[in-house]
This record gives sequence, structure tokens and C-alpha cells, in this order.
Amino acid sequence: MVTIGEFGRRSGFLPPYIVRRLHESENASLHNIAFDTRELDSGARMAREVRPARIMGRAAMPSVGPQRKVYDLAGNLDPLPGTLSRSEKGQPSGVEVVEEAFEHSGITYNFFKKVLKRESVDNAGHPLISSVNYGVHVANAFWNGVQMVYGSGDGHYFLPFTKSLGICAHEISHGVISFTTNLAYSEQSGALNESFCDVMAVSIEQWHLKQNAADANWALGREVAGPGLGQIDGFRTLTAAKAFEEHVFLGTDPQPKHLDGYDTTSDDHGGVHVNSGIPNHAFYLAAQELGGNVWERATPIWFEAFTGLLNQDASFVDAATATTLAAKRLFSGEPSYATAIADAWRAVGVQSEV
Amino acid sequence: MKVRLTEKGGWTNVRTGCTVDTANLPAEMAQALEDALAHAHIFGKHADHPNARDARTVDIEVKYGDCWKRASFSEAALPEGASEILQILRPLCEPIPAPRHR
Ligand SMILES: [Zn+2]
Repeated sequence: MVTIGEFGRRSGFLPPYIVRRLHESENASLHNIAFDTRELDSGARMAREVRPARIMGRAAMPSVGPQRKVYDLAGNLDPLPGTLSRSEKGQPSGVEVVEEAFEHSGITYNFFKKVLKRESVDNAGHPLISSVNYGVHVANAFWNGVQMVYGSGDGHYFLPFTKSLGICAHEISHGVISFTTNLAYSEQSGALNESFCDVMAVSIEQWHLKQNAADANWALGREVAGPGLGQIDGFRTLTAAKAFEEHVFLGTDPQPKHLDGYDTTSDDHGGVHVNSGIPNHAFYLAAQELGGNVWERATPIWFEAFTGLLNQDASFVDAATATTLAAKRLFSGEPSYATAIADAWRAVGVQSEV
Repeated sequence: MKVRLTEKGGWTNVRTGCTVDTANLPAEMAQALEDALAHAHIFGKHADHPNARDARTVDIEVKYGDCWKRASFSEAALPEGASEILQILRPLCEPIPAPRHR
């Protein structure tokens, strides 16, 4: 078995911000590893700014259960959240989009609780609040820093965004990041923020459907594509393929799968929804190599790295390094996992620093 | 009066939009749109919503004479009066293929 400390010794160094994060961890074994490694580095690489750790306690919280509330905006854009339509102890509303938001929030809550031992977005039972029927013909869903907001589409090109478990899981995952590493929402750190949410979305879908990495459909969002868009597999996919090509309304899926295709656009906070294709594909490659169920192997590694080890302004290289280290820590008896993850990042043009 | 709405980014990252000429709209809708534009405060600088994720960027362009004037803001931080304009224009929008990337 190779410990993180031993690994750092062999490879020469660990990035200082990760050493700090490990050192600050409440986990005793992680703490010792960090101490061991810090002695090696002698502060020679302490150039980066290190923000206070936002690592939430990893010890299992006593479960309070999901605290879901779904509000109906009935086609209005404001004021949020709207009229309460469904709550944890209430009766079913009879409104399809309300029930979809409620159900998908519950599945997502259960995944974080049962698989990743996290009690809601803040690890302290934060209520999962959704507002549905946001405006008229709104083809989007977003996280506003506090809650989820869902448009109902136009019924032709786009269906209600509540229909997709993956979209709900993605938005709640933005909440998880906001309470942990709070990856800045622009350029590479923004693409990592988006990628983490896609990774959690596919993981939660696969967990819910009991699909292994080899059999799963790795595309996201197909449930909200209306009849006017015809048959599309999704709006993006973590595989090497394009989700759509030369589509009359959508054009061609713009996501790159290698750093060579990184889009330097200033649109969308520096292309956060485009460049996330690069780390997304690294996760896909790692998951295929690790095999089995993602939620038992690749997903906990990504979760540990993205919520515990990264800085707010992390780069793709930092993510490659952190996921490789997290694999060493979580699967110390399986050194091939860390190798597979470093290889996956290398295949998308990103070199881990360890 | 010509008015163009374009929304970019968001969860799907699909661009949607429409361009309308109020002369070609039903009279009641044209009047509502012109009134909404007259009363809104959409032009000028708007603070982004710092904690919003997946919110689209909304561009509203209005042609005054020969010049287009553009307002740009986050759908999660709508400036005063923008709601009324969006509620009129969004039902007229379609997806717009993005320019092909590498
Ligand atoms: Zn997102």
C-alpha cells in the first residue's frame, strides 16, 4: 500500500494548497499524512494563496431526513419563491411539475446521504427549496444561491426542466460546491464547478437506475428535449461523442473533450458550460477504467477532491492532482485507481502534478 | 420598432432568441411591448448575481432609428421592468444554432 505521504515523497512534492487542506482535515489519518508530507516540502512551493478550509465534517451526521419544499410561481417571474405547493409532510399537490421537483430532490438527497454521507447541501440539513413554473416559456433551470428555479419550457422545443433527475441533481450539486470549495464561476474553475455538477448528475442517474459504468447512458438532459427538437440523446455527453451534430436548431455540440479544444470565449463566464466537457470526459475515462458502479469508485474520489481539496480558483491541473491524491487516500489498497485517474486526465491533455 | 431578445448559456447552453417588428405584431401585443420598454430600466450597467449558477445571460436589443441599443443582464438578477418584456418576447423565441466551434 502506498500512502499519500509516501507517494509525495516518491514524486517529489505535493501541491502546497493540498497539503494545507489535508493538514486542516478533521480526519486523523489525513492529518498525519499531511504532516508527513509538509516536512518534505519545506514550504518551498507556498506561492499560491490558500483560503480557509471549507471542508465540512466528514463524520456521518444524524439524519434529519430531506427538508423539501416546492413552490409554484404559476408563470410569474417574481417574487420568489411563489406559493407553497408541496412540503415534506404535506399531501401530493396533483401538479406534475411540482411532484417531479419533489421526487427528484428526494432522490438526490438520498444519494448524497447514503452514498457520500452528506446531509443536504451544507451537511447540516439545509432545506431543498424549488420554485417551478418560473415565467412563461422559460427553457432553463438554475440555482440562485439559495434554491432551485425551474422553467416549464415551451412544450415544443423544451419540456419542463423538472422532468430531468439529472438537472435537479446538477442544481443541488451547485449548492454542495457553494458550501464547500466554492469554485469560482469563471474560466477553468467555473468549468470545474460545472463539471462537478454533471459528474454528480450522471452518478445519481446511474445510482437510481442501478446501471454500471459500462452500461450507462452518459448523456444529460434528454428528458427536457421537446418534440420540436426531434430525437436527441441529450444536450451534452461525458463520452467522446458529440451529443448532437449539425442539428437544424442546435448546431453541433460545442463541448471539447481535450484541452487542445479549450474555448477562450468570454461568453457564459468564460465558456463554463463548454469547457466542462474536458474534465467531464476525464471522469468518464476514469470511470470506464475503474469499472463497476461509478458511485462506489470514481464518484467518491471526485467528491472528495472537488469538495475537500481544491482551492476556489482551481485549475484543471489542480483537479487532476486532487483526484489522483483522493484516489490514493480513499483506495489505498488499489494503487491502480490513482494511476487510472492520472491517465484519464492525461488523455484529455491535463497532467497531474503527482 | 424592432426588438431582439437573445438568451445565452444556462443549463442546456442552447442559445434561444427572436427578433420582432412591432408593426407586424398584433396591436395589443405591440402596445404592451412598447409600453413595457418605455417603463423599464434595462439599459446601463447591471450587477450580476454573484451566487447564481446556470442562469442565462439575457440580451435585449432595441432599434431606435438606425441604431441598435443593447441591454445585457443575468436572468437571475432582472433589472426593473425586464420581467414584462421577457414575458411578452419569450413565447416568440426559438433555439438558434450556435456558431460551430473547433
Ligand atoms: Zn450548472
